[in-house]
Amino acid sequence: MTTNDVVSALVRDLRPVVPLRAPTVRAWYWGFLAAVTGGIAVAVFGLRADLAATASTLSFRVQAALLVLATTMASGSALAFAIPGEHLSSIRRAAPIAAALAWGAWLLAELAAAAGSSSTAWALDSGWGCVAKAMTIAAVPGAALMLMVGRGASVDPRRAVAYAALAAAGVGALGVEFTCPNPEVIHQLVWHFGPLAVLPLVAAPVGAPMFARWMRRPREPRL
Amino acid sequence: MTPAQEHELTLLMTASQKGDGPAYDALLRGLQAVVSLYVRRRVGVTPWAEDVVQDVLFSIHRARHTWNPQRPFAPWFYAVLQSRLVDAIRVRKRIGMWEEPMDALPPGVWSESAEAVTIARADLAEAMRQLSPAQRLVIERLKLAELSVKQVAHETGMTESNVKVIAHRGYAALRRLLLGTGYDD
Repeated sequence: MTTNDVVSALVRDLRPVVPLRAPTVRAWYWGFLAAVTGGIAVAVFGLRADLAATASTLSFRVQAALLVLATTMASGSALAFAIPGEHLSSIRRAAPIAAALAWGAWLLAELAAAAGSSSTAWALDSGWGCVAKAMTIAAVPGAALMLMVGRGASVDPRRAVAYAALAAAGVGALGVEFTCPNPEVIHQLVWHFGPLAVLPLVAAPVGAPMFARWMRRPREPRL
Repeated sequence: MTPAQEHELTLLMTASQKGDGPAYDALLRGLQAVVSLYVRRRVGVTPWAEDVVQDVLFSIHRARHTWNPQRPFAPWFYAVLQSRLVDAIRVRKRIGMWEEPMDALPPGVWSESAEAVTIARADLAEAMRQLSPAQRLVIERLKLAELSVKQVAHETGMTESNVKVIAHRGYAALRRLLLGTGYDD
């Protein structure tokens, strides 16, 4: 097929399209959806009994703030990475990762403090229930964000998927903070922070090929 | 891309997003020239440069809804172009890792002498002579002149499907003739 043939075929295939809105606007839409669906899921699971007391502590507020920051910034970055040529400053790229790591560092610092005063600080229970809860809470926002990224045409699908996974995991982790009554820091570090740290690393190589499909050209008929 | 070119391409892209066919045709032909020049400057003259041009045009077609008319056109376009070019270079490198240059093969693996090549050429020429005039013409234009099916159809006044059928039958006849003279399948 010559380039002239390609041009003619593409012109024949032309249909009007509605341009996607700016990534920031789309991130706001997603944030609203995530807040509503995540809130519903948290309500279904039930708020932790000690929430009123815990929510007033500095630790809870800092952790929640870091999670909100990581989630919102990551969703904005994922949607920006879905658009070719969209400028994303290094601060905007680093902010969600820095916020997520800061949460992990905060938990580690709390764990170190707890280990100094209690011999059971390292005792780890099974927290798969929390992982399942987080995945359930994140399911709809995560799927929606992946669809929104897929509507774009990412030239860097690995990063787009990694940030989308971080945002989805952030919603799940934030929801679990409101539902899980376990006060042990080691539990929060492994079962709340752990999935948030692992999911983007796993999702990026697995999911990226799906978001690179738009680049593949249809096969030409063979002679 | 000069600012004047970018301005013109921006207008064409805006019209193309609304479904304006002639504008889209002009856009793609304008971009074709820009892409060809860009590829030639980055990787020199290569046999696969045209493939990259076509890949970029396909990608632009599929991603055209992601360009925001309120944003400049050039960063969007060059991001697509750069990504497709990097992919093409990566693929060619991967293929190159598995391909051995002919002169690097150990002796004995490829031991065709100049005489054997001459004989093979003569056998092929003889087999070509035994084809029908239409088959000979189509295969010569497709394989020796390296024209496309469409170009051959235009040149010979045949339909494209007719060219394909004649070429297919010609290849089968050539294969039969060469197998009959002792060549392997």
